[in-house]
Amino acid sequence: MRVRLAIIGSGPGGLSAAVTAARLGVDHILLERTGHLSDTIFKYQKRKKVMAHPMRLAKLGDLPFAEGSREEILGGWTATAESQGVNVRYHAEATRIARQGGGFLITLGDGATLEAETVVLGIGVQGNLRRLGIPGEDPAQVFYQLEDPDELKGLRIIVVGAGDAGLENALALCAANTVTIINRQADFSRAKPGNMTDAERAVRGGQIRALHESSPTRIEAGMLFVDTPTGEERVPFDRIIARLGAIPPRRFVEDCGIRFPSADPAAVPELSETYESNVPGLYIVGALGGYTLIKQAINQGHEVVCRIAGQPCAPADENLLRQRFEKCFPGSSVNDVLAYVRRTVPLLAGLTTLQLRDTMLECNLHRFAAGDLVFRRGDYTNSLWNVAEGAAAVEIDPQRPELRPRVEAGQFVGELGLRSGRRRTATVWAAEPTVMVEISVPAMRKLLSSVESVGQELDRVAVRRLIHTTLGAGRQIAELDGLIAAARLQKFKALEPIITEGDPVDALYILRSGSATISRLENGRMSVLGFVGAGGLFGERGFLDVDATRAATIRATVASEVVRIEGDAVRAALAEMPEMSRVFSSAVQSQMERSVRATLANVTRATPPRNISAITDFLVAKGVGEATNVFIIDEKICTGCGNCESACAATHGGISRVSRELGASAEGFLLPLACRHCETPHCMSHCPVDAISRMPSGEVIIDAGTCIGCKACVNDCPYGVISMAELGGDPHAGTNWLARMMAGIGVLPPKRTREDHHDGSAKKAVKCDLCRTAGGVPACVTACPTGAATRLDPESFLTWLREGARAS
Amino acid sequence: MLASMNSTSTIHRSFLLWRGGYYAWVAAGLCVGCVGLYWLAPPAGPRNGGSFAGYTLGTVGLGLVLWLGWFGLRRRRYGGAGRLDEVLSAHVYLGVAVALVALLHCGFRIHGNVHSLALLLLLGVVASGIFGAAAFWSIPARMTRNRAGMTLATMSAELAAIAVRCRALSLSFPDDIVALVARTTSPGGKDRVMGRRDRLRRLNLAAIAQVQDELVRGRDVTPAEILPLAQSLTQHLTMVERLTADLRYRRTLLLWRVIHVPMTVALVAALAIHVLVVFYDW
Repeated sequence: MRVRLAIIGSGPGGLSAAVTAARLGVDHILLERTGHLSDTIFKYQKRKKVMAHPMRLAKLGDLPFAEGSREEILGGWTATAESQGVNVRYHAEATRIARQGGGFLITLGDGATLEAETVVLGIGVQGNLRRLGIPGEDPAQVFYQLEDPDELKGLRIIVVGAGDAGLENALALCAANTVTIINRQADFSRAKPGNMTDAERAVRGGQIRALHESSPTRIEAGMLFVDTPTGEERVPFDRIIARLGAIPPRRFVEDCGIRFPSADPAAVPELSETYESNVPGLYIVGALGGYTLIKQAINQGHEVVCRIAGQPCAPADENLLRQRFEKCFPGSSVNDVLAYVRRTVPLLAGLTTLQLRDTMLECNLHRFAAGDLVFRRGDYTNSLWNVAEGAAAVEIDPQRPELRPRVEAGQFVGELGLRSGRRRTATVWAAEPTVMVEISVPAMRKLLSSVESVGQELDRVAVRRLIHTTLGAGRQIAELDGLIAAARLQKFKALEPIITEGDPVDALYILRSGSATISRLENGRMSVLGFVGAGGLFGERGFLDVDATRAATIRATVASEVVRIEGDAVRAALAEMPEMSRVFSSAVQSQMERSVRATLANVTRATPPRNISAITDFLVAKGVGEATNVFIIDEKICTGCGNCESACAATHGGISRVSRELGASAEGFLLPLACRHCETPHCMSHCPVDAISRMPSGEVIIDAGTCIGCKACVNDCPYGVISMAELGGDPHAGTNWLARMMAGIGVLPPKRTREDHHDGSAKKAVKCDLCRTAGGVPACVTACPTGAATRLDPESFLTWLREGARAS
Repeated sequence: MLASMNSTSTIHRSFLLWRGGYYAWVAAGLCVGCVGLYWLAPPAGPRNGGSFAGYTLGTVGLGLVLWLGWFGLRRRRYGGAGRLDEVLSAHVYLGVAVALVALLHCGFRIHGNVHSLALLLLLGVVASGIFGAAAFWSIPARMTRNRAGMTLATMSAELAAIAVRCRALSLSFPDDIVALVARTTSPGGKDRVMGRRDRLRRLNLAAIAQVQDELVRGRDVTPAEILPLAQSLTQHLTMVERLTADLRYRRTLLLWRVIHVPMTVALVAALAIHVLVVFYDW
């Protein structure tokens, strides 16, 4: 038997290809290993809700697909396959595909063969699930699928793996069983936003126990031994469900003649932009080619068959990309622009065409004239800028205009802000007519997780630049190669010490992201001396004195990343470039000046000073270490009049975004429940419509017009400062001037509380926007009659505390 | 904007110390000027506000009173760029100054007419204002110390929990102690504590004394049996004291305005009549 087109696998990609082939009248056969269509989706747990991500991507072809249950989708597909006259052969597993003449010879499991001119391989990866592979594994206890969660009741179940499948299983099981989930990562961010927020809620509510940063090591006597950050833990169980993902069935695929780019088991075959493999006439669609989303597979199946049949078919993202490129390259074809980007932006050169297309969907192309501003020091924008042609000039220090390194074509700027979420540390201009590719944070995040080389390149450049900007002292970057070679990135968890008092001086540190406190043991008590923010240099004092040991302990306040430069290299660089010691001594000097001023201020005071250590500890425990702008009330001045909340309500449509009552207080300071505009805003990480953004001036705002009220941010915010509310309404309704004059007794502006935010369809996420919509000066602070309320960054606050807080 | 918020001069500085008491100096300057006018331009006749100096002082005083009264509106005008603590600082110091201006205006003379009524009202408003400023200055720190990290709600809840414990512990004691502990601990909650502090204190102290008496009375009890109840009753007393003190502080911070604000309205009305009458008689 000979056909023009053989489609192997009836998943979304294969089935879509078959439906298109049937409609276009292409002679085809669809080979399915099992007795039903789409086995992967067939094996989803019953009634599983299937999402139609990504929303903005159009669906091509005639195979129906919209968000719905597993049953609805399978039903629709079976009906379409029948009505379109798809030629399916069930129980036909292809065991071998070999070139023969101009086409292929396909051998089936039962020994039968058939010939085809072209082959579409849509077998997915679910036939090749990743195994637990630990000692003691018993197939009667360890499962890799969960078909019907309702069949399991009252069991102790361990779910290994916190991807979407693992979380969905755990959530479906947790109502009737005791569920523990074992997650290799520190959080559930690998999963889709919906699953992630549901799972986090279940963990908070105690329905699921989660072991993060953990991995199973062995099974012994009904116990799973788990390696956790706090040591080994034994978890008793009745059943283990391991959802570790799937990898391509490499042997089979390689036997077909298809090459893989690396030996990594997760590697996917390289494909042309028409999804053709290195074997001409053999196409790959769907998860086998690295495309795990159903809609992508459907579109690819359709595109491939159109092309085989000689029908015109633009990729689904073609229009989206054309719109993106139109402003900068009017009239150019999408492929030309993609080729241009690949040629001019080395960071993206290693991507496959398809990865590049996906990335470019979230990138902006900019054309600058010489002297145009790209971004300004102090801005909070955090995308990555690649110079495609021309060059940019970076102003590191406004006092020293002669020190203005150029960023040439092929290089990038802005990598520090990308990681730390801090303000831009330099101003960047176009030095000549320049084209730049701006990669947004979400696109960058995706690239970092999927393309290893991008992260490595970014880290490499970041280390070089941090060392140059911090220690360079006017030198060219090439002169610092000795330091750069001795530097490496190191990660620290919250509250983990980076330097311990009394240790030998073996390294110098620059903080890349996060923040840290400097503390010292004084009279048996830890006393906090200072605070280091991203970009800050520390551990330098020891290098000014030959015999010194560490004089203080430096501890990360939040998860932080540092550049560690080995001590020998630092000493060698100091010997070679004596002017570098000035950088060190000025850092030490400014620290000493601060502490002397603080001591003087304390000595001249009659009343005892505030307990700065305790206040700092309190603020750090409340997460202020990652804040950029925090609302702090001095309880020794506050009369509790509530005018801050009234002011907030009055300037924000009657809904206050600050609550003193729900805040925390210690040592005479109250931290009301209000947004702190975090360096790396948690709320932004899973907003499905990108309604949350950071303004160049620092405030993190939610665009009410874009918000769909999904609550992802409400669940993401660790500080509980986002609430849901119906917007609109007159803030002054029901009040009159006399009522307001009479000390507000009786009638106040209608301040709605969280409880009043009724459930309704029009609710939006609301939080503090630093009064961006009301003049840009926080009303809560200006409306404080006694001067007790302040909004500021934690560093300024701690400086103020050290240098002369009014003692009382 | 952010930079200005970060300047340490505006961080957690009481309104009375706004820019080192800037408005205290402004008010002092105003007073010196007015006293100078009073001495240097004595009227031909009696000091009744009818001379050049009198009219000038009256106009300044009226202007000040109207501006000071406007604070009631200003404090609920939100969203502007100015800071309310600056306005309040000026309000307090100029408010004290206006008393002197008014006294100079009338030549320190009081009669039984509407003019003197206006003066008395003004002095009353200023006096209540001084009381309020003193309360705003001194109470928050004391209140914070008294609260010891708790809120009104947690204090109430804590008190209720202690009360339950006291009653439960008392059940193994004679009936008179059970009754006394029940009476001591029955009020519960902040609403029923208010205004009964002295009675509650007496009851609580009596209960503690009586429980301790159990040892003396020679019944078959050991200190170990008595101590838990005695300690719980002591905690109850402490919490009642804290709670009542907190409520008293809150009341003081709020209630002086019940005098200050209506009296201001009356003052403005009396001043309107005063001005009309003066010009009608003229």
